[in-house]
Amino acid sequence: MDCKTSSALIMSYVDGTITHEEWAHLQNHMKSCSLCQEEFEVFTEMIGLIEEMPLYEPSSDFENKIMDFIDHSLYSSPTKQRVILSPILVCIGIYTTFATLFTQENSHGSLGTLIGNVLKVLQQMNIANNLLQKIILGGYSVFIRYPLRIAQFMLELVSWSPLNFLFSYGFSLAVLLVLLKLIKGTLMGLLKIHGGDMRWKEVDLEK
Amino acid sequence: MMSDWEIIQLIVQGNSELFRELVGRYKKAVYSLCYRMLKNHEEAEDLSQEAFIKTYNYLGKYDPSYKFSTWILKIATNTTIDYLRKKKVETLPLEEEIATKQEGASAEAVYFHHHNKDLIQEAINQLPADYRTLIVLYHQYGLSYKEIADSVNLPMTKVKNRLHRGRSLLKEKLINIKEEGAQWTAKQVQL
Repeated sequence: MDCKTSSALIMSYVDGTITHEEWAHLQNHMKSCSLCQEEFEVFTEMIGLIEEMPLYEPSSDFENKIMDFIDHSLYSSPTKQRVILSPILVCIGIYTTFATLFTQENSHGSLGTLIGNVLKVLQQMNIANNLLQKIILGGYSVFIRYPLRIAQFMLELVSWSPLNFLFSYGFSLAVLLVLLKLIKGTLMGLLKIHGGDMRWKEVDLEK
Repeated sequence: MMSDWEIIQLIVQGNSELFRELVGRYKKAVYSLCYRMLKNHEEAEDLSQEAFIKTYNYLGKYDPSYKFSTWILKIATNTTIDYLRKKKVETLPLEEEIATKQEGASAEAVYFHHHNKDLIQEAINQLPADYRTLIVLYHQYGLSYKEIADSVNLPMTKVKNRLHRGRSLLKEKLINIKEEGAQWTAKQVQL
């Protein structure tokens, strides 16, 4: 073995990747080569010293400085407001959709009667809901009254004709789309509460 | 005692005060690393604070299949390297020079009579920053080649070569310092 090889093996030794065979060869070489023996000793001593180097203590108010600096609201879901409201708006959306679709002057047999009854219950609930909205939501009453007024207007228009039915159906579809958007918003809000991206990935700091 | 991961989950659910516990656990390691890389206590304090704040902001992205200690050291390393680059501090020598000390006694000479422990720290301080970083991460903090490669965004082979080169340089510097210490001692004896 030459000294160049043994130097490389010393590196492997320090890395902890040297094989038993290589270690045997290296020891053999060092018996007859004082330079490599010395190199080996210096390296091992050096590494040992590095491992024992002290850790330093930062200033005494280190934690305080950091705690003052961080944004404590970062993980406390400011979207909680939206999350409470969105379901309420979702319910309103459902109501107006059903109101447009099914409230007709001419009910269609037993199904129509059933739906009409359900609607009456919903209407009752909605009245109570409305009061609640007025008290709690204030400005958001606009979102309730407008759809209701539009729905009532539609009801006046509607007699059983294909055109009108299409019209009210189209309107319901639009409301459904808004509904879906609200649901999506709610879900996103929930995701934010639970710490963002549900894919836990390692930070890629190479920007 | 709660694990790092348990604490992180609680923080991310809204309990930001718990971050103080994480800071307490890792402040020495992070601060020491920054200090070794920067050789300056003030800058080390600033950079280690910045590292912790970044860690807090990225907590939502932490992947628990990696050790938190490695992850936070990676953030600290990157933050410090970026700072050194901005400061235009030469992190890698254009040509590898061996430390040649000036004539006459320097402040460092005082160390030479003491423990080798001081010698090693002096020798490490004389290394260019990139070598120093690798040596400290590997030998003091015990990171693996792969973990270091992730931390400094270099391929593993490059990390290995640079680390080996760094060790050789370090050995040369150590011997130089020892020799100079011997010369200085000799001069003293003559007086």
